[in-house]
Amino acid sequence: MKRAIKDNTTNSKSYKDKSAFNHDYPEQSADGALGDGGTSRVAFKTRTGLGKPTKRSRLGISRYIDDMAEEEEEEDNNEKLAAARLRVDEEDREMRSEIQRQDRRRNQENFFEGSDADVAGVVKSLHERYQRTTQLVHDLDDIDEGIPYADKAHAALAASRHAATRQANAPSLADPRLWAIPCKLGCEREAVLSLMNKCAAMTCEGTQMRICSAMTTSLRGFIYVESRSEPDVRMVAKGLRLLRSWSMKMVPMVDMVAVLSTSLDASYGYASKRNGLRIGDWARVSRDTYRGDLCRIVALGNGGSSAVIMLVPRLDVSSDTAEAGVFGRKDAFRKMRPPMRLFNASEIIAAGGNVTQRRFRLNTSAGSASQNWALADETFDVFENASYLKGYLYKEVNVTTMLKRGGADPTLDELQRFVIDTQEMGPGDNEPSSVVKYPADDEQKRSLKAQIELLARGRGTQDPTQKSPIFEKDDKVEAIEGEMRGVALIVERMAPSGIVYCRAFDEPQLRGVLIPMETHQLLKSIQVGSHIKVQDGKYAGQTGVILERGVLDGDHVAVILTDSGGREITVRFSHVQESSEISKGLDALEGYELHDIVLLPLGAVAVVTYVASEDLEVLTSRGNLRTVRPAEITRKLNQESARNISLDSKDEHVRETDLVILDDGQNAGALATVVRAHRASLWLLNVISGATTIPCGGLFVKKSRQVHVAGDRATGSTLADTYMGLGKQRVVNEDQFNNKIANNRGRSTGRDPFVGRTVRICKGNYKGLAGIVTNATTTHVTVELHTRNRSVTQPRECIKIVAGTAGGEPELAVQRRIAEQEAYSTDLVSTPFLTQATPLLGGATPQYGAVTPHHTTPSRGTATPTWGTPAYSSQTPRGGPQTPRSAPGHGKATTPSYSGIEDVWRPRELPNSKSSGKSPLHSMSPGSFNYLAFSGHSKAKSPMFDGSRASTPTYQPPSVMPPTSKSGAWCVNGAEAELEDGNICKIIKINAQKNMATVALKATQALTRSLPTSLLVRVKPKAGDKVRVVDGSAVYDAELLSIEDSDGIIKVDNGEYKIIDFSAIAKVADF
Amino acid sequence: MVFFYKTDLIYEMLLSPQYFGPSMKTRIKDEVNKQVEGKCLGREGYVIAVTSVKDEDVDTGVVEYDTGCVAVNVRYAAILLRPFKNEVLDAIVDDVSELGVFTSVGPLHIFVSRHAMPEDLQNGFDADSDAWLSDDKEVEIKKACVIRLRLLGVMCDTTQITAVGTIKDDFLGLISHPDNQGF
Repeated sequence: MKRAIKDNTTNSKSYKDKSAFNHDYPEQSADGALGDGGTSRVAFKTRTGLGKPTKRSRLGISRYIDDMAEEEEEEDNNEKLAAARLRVDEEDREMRSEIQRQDRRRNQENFFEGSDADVAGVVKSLHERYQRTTQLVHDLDDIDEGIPYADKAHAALAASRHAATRQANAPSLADPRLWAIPCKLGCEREAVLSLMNKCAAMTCEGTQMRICSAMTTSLRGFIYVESRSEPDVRMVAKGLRLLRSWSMKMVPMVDMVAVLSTSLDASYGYASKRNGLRIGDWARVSRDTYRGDLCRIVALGNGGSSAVIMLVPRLDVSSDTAEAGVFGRKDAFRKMRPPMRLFNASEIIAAGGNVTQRRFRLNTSAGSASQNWALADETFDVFENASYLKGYLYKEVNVTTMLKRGGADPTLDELQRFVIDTQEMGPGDNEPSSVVKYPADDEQKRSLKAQIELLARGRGTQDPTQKSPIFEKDDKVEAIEGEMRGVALIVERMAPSGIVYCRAFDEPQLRGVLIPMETHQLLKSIQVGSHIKVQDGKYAGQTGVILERGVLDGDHVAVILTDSGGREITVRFSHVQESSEISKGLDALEGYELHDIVLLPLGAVAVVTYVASEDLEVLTSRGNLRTVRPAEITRKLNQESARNISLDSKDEHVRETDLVILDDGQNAGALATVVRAHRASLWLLNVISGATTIPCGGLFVKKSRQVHVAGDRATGSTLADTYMGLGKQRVVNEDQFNNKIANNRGRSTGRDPFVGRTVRICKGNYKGLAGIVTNATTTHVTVELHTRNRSVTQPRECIKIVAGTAGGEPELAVQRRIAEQEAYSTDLVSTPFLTQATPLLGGATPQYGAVTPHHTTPSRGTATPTWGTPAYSSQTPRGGPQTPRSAPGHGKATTPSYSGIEDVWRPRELPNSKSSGKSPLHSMSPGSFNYLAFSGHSKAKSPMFDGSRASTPTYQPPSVMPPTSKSGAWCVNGAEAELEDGNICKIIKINAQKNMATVALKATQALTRSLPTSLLVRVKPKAGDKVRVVDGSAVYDAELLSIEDSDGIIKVDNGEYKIIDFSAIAKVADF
Repeated sequence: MVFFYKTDLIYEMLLSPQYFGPSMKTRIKDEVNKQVEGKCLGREGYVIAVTSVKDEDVDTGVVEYDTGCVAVNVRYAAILLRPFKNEVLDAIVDDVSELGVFTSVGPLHIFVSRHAMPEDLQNGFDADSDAWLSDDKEVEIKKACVIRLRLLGVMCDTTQITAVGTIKDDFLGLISHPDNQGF
């Protein structure tokens, strides 16, 4: 604030008002020179006027009036008297103060004007006058600086005094008012000076300018004039070119204080209040080429409105050489921003640029920032009107237009760019003595380093108070500093001053006591092992369990095991909040969401498993977990994935959202949902609740051939279904079709045998043309013609399956069969006995060529009667909750044809089926009975089966209570088994009815346990082991010769060789 | 070392009409055993075993109109495994990773972070042998070991209970090794 004029030509009225004002606050005016006596008198008078003594000294007639009436009248009189007395006092006081004031004025005039002016007297009076204010200022300073008071009472006292004194100084209605007069921008100071000159001139002329003061503040474009009347202000402002007095405004009373408020750190110029910029601060450029770039403010001018900033240049040397002309340069800029690079004069010159050397371009206007800059006189390299020094670009900019508001929040990386050692630049540079030359620069560097260190420690450049943790009521906290250290507290309330009032948690003697604590003394009290959520910082949004608490670089941190992905992260304690929430990650990061399928560089495809705040965790098609940034992702493949159809192990179509059953791996038999599909890779999600602790949030990758679709079709509206608009009708009819026409052909699924086949049309317009059946109903089929690009619908009678060539098979199956054949021939070489021992093999080979009716549907294979009933639909969730592991073995053992296309075409299968013959093996063996029943049960458990199965009475399920669990086929006495906890045991006794087995543990053989067979896991025998084999109802001992993937070749003790499904072979326990 | 709790609980079940008949109650009891044993009942803990389902504890059922099933309330007594914070347990090591040791006590899974291991173990993860080795190679924690641990925190879900434990304190740590014959 600058007061240009202090109008001392007194206005008696003003002083009178001032004194009245003072009397409103008698206790404060006590130390004032003015109205001293008056005040004390008032105080005294008031006391005597109201107190008892008056009663005794009654005057006049009232003395003679009797007591009863006296009471009332006395009071009345008393009041009147008191009022009268007050009035007299008032007048008295006013007169006195007037006199005093006049005296004082006369004195003053004498002091300043008289020849005998006493300097000491002047000083004394000045001192007296300002003593009170300085005292106030002191108090204010103390409070604003937050100097803690030793004593609380003292603090309270100071605070109240603070408030009171502020109040006392506040302008009242009786004070002169302020007018804001618009003036030419930037000429505020000039305007005030000219106003002062005018006042002086007018006073000399004898005309009084009736204004108290005029001033300019940090507000640009306005000056303030203090006066008691508006016409006076108008008169003063009239005729001044710089002022637009016609649009002046009176400042409302409430805003008057604000006009003159100054911030305490005025040393940094006016701007400090407005945008908080200081020399050495970081800022960001808000526009043009350097938009968003970090810059450092090296000088400020014009009251903080302009600044010299230091930047890392972005120069495109190549574009300069290519398009040396001015033309087209802007386009180049618009297209792409050159990367940040330090300026190198020799490089530019080499590229054909023109570099000159001169001082920093001095802004001609007064107050320019460069005028305040020590380095402005150095020799800069000037290239295209921009000045460079030691590689950095220096620019004078307008703070409001060129710099962004708000904190710059420089990252460590950005800061590092500003630390280029002088040594690095020095020797090569033209100025070897730069270190000596710029001590200030050196200092700057040091502070820069400090800042970087701070940042590296993760604190940021903000002052620590800004990031102090916020506590809420009932937060559990712990004191970490001070005498209360280690005490558990509960937050009661938080004062705005940053003091937290806490209750003691479990200290009886402190009950009901509020303990004031400072925020930095407190820490959230979260115990190791509690489940938390990270609220802030890099890992915001993550949840997990605290594994450890500790102090890292002076910060209280917690090590957290995250719920997703099982990673360990270290977060600051203040960012942690107790919570039972389990995070699935952020919703999206730059458009990438959880379970999005994305294309990575080099053609890798992955699915997002976790969205963090800066990067994504993805699961690639190879099953690797990777962390990628969104920038690395080429694009999303969600639509492709939705369109993708792959074939499962049963040649069924698998696509997104299908429910599938795993064929192998440790979770064989488990259900999973297809989340995404890409070519033959499926990303599956476990259908188990509580999958959260599983890595990748339960997501995993499988090849489509390693799974099969659960149920008939997971979704009723498959392409084929909807294609001809028949939908479900087709499915229903098909079952009838199966029963009537298909001659008990083993049909396990709703898929028509014609679909996918190459057929020849034998009647009608299209007679003789060949095509592939794309859809089939009970009466018609749709054939996609080979010859023409169209599909035709034909009655079933009109088509014939092309026999003989590979065309008779679905194409994929053909390819696979060829591979199979090769495998078979190698088998023959390696196991010569096969050809001798099983002459049936020879008989089987023609299957490859000639298509017998049975073999047209390879997946159904040799038709055992049971195949007629869809009980053996491949989709029975073999596992079920109780028997996750042993189930598949069972399935394979009892139903050889069940195991899929490969096995059917493998002639080795035949001995097995021969041994059981065409006998209704499954109805015989108790295991298969159980299996049937079990599958019925599991269907009932999963509602999706019910609809499609409604027509077959076998599956009329809803048996809420499951029948007894099935037993593994390999479970025989003496077999070796593994318990779920990994212990090896020996089966001693089997109770087939109850499916219970008695086992003896390997370690402690005396100990036997009885448990459901479903809990036993077969110990896989190795080649050469003694094994016990369950073949149908027969059980015999043998030696395992070798293992072919799903079959075992055994030598039975009677010398016979057999091929048995491997899962039916149990190792004989040798203990 | 593990403490179990015996409690009376109620199981509500739906019984399909096909099981109505003389052996219905036996069926119901079987069913309770099957459905409840090994399950997690949230804060109650894991049901280890159903000790008794008395005949009189099976309430009269109510036939549901839509399905024909009967809703029956069955009261049963069960032994529960309910872990508490600071409880000391013996746990079998299921899995070992560089983050720590995953152990289990029956159905309860407990994670022992490397931070919760004694100092001489803390950096001893040996990826080759999949084991945590102490500096002096005396202690080796690998799969199927039994360790004594103290629970640091227990999280109860509706379907599972997970816990984190420590072996940092006195008398905690490895108590039996699969190679030296244990259990």
